[in-house]
Amino acid sequence: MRDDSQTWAAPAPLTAPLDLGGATLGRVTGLRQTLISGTRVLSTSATGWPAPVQGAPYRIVLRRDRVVEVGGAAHPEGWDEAAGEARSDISDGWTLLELSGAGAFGLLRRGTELSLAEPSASVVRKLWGLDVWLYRFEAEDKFRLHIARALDEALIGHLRLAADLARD
Amino acid sequence: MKDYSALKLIREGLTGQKGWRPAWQTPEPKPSYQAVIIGGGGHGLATAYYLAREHGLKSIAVVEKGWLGGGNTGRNTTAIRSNYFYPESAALYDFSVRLYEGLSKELNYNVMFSQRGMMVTAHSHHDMEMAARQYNAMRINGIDAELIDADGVRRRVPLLNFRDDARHPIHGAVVQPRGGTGRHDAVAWGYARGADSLGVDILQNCEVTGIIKEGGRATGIETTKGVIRAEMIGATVAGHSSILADMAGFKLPIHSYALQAFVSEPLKPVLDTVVLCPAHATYVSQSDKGGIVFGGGLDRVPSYGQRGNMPVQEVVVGALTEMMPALAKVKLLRHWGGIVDVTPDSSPIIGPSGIDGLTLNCGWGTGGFKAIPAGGWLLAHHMANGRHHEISRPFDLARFTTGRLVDESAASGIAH
Amino acid sequence: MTRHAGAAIDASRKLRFTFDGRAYEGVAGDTLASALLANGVRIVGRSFKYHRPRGLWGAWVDKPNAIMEVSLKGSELPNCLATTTTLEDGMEARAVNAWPNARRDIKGGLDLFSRFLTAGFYYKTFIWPDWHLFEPSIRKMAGLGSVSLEHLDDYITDQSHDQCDLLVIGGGPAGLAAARESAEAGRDVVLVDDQELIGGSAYQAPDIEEQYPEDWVTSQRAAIETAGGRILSRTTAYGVYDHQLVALIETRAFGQTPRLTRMRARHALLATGAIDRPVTLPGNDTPGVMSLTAAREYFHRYGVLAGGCAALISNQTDAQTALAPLQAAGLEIQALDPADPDLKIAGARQTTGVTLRDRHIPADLVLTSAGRTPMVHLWRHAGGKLTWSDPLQAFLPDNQLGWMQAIGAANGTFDTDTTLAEARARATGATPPADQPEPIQPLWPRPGAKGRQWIDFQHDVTLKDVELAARENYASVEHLKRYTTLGMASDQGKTSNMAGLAAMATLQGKEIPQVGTTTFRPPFVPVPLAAWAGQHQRQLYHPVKRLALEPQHRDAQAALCEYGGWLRPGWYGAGEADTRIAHEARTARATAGLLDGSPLGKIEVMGPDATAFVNFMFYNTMATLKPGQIRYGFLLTEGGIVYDDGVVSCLGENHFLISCSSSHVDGVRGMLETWRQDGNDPDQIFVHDLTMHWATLTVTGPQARDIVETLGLEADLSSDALPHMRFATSTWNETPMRIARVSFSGDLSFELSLRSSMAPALWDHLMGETKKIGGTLLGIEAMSVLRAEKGYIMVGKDTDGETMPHDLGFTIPRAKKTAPFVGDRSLHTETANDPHRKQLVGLTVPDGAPPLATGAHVVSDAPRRSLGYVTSSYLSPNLDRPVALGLVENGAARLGEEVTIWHDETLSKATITAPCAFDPEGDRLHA
Repeated sequence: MRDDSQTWAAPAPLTAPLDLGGATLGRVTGLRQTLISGTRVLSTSATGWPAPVQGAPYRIVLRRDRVVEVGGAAHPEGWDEAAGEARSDISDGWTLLELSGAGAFGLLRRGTELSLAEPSASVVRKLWGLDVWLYRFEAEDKFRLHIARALDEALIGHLRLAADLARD
Repeated sequence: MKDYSALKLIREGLTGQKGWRPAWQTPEPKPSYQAVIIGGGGHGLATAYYLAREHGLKSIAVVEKGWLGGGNTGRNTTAIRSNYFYPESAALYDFSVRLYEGLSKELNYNVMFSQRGMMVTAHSHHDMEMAARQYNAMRINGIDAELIDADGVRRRVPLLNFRDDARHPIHGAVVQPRGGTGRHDAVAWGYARGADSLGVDILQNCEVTGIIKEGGRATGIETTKGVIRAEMIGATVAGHSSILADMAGFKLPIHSYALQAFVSEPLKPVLDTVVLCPAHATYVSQSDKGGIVFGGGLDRVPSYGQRGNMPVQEVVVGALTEMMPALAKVKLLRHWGGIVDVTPDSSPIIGPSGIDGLTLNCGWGTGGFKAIPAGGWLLAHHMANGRHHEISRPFDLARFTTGRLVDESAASGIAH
Repeated sequence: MTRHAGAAIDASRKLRFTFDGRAYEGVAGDTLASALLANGVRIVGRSFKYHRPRGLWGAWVDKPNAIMEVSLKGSELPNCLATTTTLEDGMEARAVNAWPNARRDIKGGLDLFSRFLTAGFYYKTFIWPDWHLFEPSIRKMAGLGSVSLEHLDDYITDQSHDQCDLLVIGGGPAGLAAARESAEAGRDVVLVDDQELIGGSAYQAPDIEEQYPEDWVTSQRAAIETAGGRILSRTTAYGVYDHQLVALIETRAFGQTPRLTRMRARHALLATGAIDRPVTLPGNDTPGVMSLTAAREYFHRYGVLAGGCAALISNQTDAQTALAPLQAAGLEIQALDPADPDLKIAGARQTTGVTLRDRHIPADLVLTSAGRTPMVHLWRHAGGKLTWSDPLQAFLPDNQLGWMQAIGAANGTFDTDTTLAEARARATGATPPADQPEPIQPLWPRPGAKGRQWIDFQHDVTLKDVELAARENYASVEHLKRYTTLGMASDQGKTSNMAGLAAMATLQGKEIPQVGTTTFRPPFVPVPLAAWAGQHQRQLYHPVKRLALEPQHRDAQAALCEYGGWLRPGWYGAGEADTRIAHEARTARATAGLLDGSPLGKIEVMGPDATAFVNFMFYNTMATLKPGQIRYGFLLTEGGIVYDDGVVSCLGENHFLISCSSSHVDGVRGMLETWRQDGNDPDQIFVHDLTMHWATLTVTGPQARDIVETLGLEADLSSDALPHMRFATSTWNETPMRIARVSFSGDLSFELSLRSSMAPALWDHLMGETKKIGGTLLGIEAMSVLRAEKGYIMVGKDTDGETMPHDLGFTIPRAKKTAPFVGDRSLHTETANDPHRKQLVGLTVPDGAPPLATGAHVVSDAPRRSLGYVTSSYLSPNLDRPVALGLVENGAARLGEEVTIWHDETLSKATITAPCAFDPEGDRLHA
């Protein structure tokens, strides 16, 4: 039994945008995230990488039978036999971050191999070993990242450190 | 055979080194032998040695596709220990440690077994409870062990991370004082020289391309140097075991993975024991030449490539620098890979293959080097007597059917 | 010493430094080596084994000695290579492994015993009485630099990923020409060069395409950058990995971590050049013996003439022309026939010249080259094959790799014009003109020759050592290397490999290509460990998961500890941990306790086949669960071993919620996703991991219902309407909530789950009500005690790698469940049926005895062997005595038996009991 309260700094939620020198990191709140699984989900309009997604609601592709709808209305949860879909609200399970600016792409490339010339149907990536959903939003230099809420401190920590190291 | 000594070094030094004889011959293959061992690494060479020495066989060949000792034996991180949990494992690995203790004298070849201790650290209260369980198991099984606290660890290994912001603070450790390291090449060469002096033919650059079976019995091998018949065949090919099994027509519950290892530039002594940190899944020691030798988890894609890639390198090196921050500025000299044959319970397979005339010694996974003397001795025993010694019986292939696994996932260390 | 013009230096900016305690002056652009050379320092280090004095052979990475400990402004780095360390003002350098200094190393005396300390001598002795007697001294003599236990703050490497169409490795004439040609053709080109001043060997030429080299290099650079190409200087490509990944390391200021770039290249051109081979003859390690090319580099780049009067021993046909500028600057040169077998280099601590039979040719510098060896390391990393070139007496890339080609000296092309044509052709995918290289006279070691002739200059391996290895049959190239340690030093054989294998070839009567080469492995030059480690340090190493309620727990003075990858309250409040924990455990049973159980896994399984699938995954029958019902169950491995335990709730038809252990969520999710695709139809089964979305708060204790009632939920919480192992749904503050009667404490217990964003409000309310009623906040530690009092297991603590469900008392599905499930067959093996299997039991100690140590073993008396062990042990505040759980052979049949306990050589006694020590009837559970 070891009290680590002092070893881990109290979490500092991102209330205001963070200047990372060439990129800005902010949190996007208030958007519902719905996990939708089914064999026909790809027939709906849903994005991968690198085409920027527009407006709201929009859908991002995790895998061939799974999308996440962002910014939509509430859906009935559970298995929908008629639609052939399983739906779950995951809004509080994933923190949505937005990274924008000329330095944003370079910062992301410090966490994973990323290329605008290599398309991917899925937005699932590992950034510094953490599972994220990464895609472009509305602009060429604006990126959205979804990270498991319990690990958002860790991802923000990595981004900050990467920005510091990139600056030196 | 036993002509190595300080006196001879002096004599030869004065007379121009002309009196040294070949450590082993380069014979041509004979058409048949009483016993053929496939695989000229530590286990194969040890098997041949003990077949000759303990069982008096006069017609033995070791067949090696490359240069002897060039597989995992020449690529490992040289740890020797017997800090295992189950009595069966304790018996097996401690038998090996005891053989290592007398090996240099037995072979008249300095294998440099340095019993500088093997330390497994504990990084939480739960870890300390498991450490106590492990420590007691070792003591009950008659293996030397110490259970020490954080201060004890710090005294022995000041290089470890005792900073306030260490990610996995150290609570204590289980130490096996008789554990340590050996010079891996010397083990292979020592056994090779010993076996050669007892009449064993070591056939290098001779690759097995097929197993000859007659009436369901293995009676010989096809090689790149021709057909060689044998009354009994032992297979000690480690990471290539599945390939050999395929050739011979039997199945093995083995997956082969790349395991990477690393060495730094030589440094003045800074680490006097072997350390394994389960929280970081990485182990480290300092060789007598001064290089920091370390390794960690497998490259988890099954492969015979004998090389690994950057992601695992980053995980292992990152772990080492978090374990021992002072090493961050030390430079890496070289990294390489071997192929490890992993079984479902991380314990080896010794004994019949299911094909008459073909006996196995494989499945050592990441822990084969420490077991070379025991593996060779036990395979030789089985081949010569046609039955198990009590130490090897629990490791028979049949255990995957009876369910009597010896699951040393925790004790084997890293790779599961 | 006079400084001539040097391309890399600015002679007007002076820098001060010390070497082995003596002060010297260098200039901006110098390396430590060039500055020392300019100051006339001849001995820059000592060899590893015999501590022989060593001078400068090479000018860049081809330098086997000159390794120094360097400190500057508080940063201290061991093992810096003087030839690649840029000089900075204030540097203090010390030769490694030499005491008191390189000039006067007392261990130089070892050289007198060299004949007894030949290759591999340590295998032949130190056997009696014991290796341990000799080892400490040998270890102390080994090693080069020292590393202090201090770690450098902020020594973290910036790591990045990048891609390009064409990676040109090497910025000499070949690389620059190729990079320019391809950039101007519109390709995405990156050029890397490991020097600050790129240009490679350009500066050694009097002119290139009718321009001064400096100007030519500058115009290539400008053209490349104008065309959109990128140039990375001070960047070494140190390794090539699978799928065309090239690792690049950028050196920065001293004490700063290098920068790592993982470059994925569609194509690559290897323009890494070639280095001189030393000539193997007696005395060839004497300070003052220098590579022909290095002398040119020192002159053209750094403006330093390495001596006044040089003897030239080389088979390079253009040697005299190449040295003309140095001659013009005042270096006297006398060329000698390199093939003369009687050549010896004279001098001990410094060369005095060359002797040839009865003649002595005075010189203070001996320039040698036995030919040039292309730097093919990266080619070999990439899996490329080598071919032998007889005219060049060198191994060349066979250029059959597809994505990578070699150009320039790396490809054996040494003539400038041919190089430029070749580079430009390759850059555009054309076939270069066939090159007819000028053959050189083979100049290889002559085994059997007299005198000490050196092959590996750091490890002190001589030609006689190679002869010895051959005599003893360590004849394969890898055995030769490992036995003699040739090529295993920090330069990894750059200057020694070829001579070594040529000597072995001669000894074996083979041609050099028949002997082969040893494996080239990354890194090409030593690279700091920090470069690989990157950001994964301290709090970012295995980052811990944080609770949504962490601020609330901190406010309540929680001791936050790591459990199963999460940071969770171990206990609350100031004071002794044990006291606090006991208080919480007592109060929770007396009144009530509130625990944050949010990390609990919440994985939903939905779809037409969900019922059958959940029934297949679990040991226990789940197919009969009706909506609203909860059942405890085990997930097994295929080997029948308990992987995780948890409860399954039926949320509706074909809709289940699996609550797995917080530490096993990822594993369970992985198992479900794997099995759903294996033998099942994945289109009919969907697995949603909602662990992070839902928070779960547990209210436990005899007054738990009272507390939950204060929420004003519509749900009927009475024991008739909501009995144990049932759940209800409701809303609270317009938020959907699940109320489950599940208990880990063994008391009346409600698990309230709702979305995480509403957890703070719920927590505040429940905390207030709990406190009002005299209850307590409950941490993990106290809950661990409570569940142990009830004999409830924690997987991984009370189960091990052998535990099967029937060992825990759950025998029915094994006997009765007919539907297939994961692990089924393994539950009926010989081992699974063994009556002596370890089973879960309770253990009580005699009155007044202290709690058993967790990890103590239960042992048989004679012979002494382990029968099992203590897995959990606490002092129970509710029973006022110790309680313990354990796994013991055939335990279930031995209730009431007294057994011997062993811990740390001490014996004690305990009695085997049923695991449940508190409220075995379960009245409190079903309240």
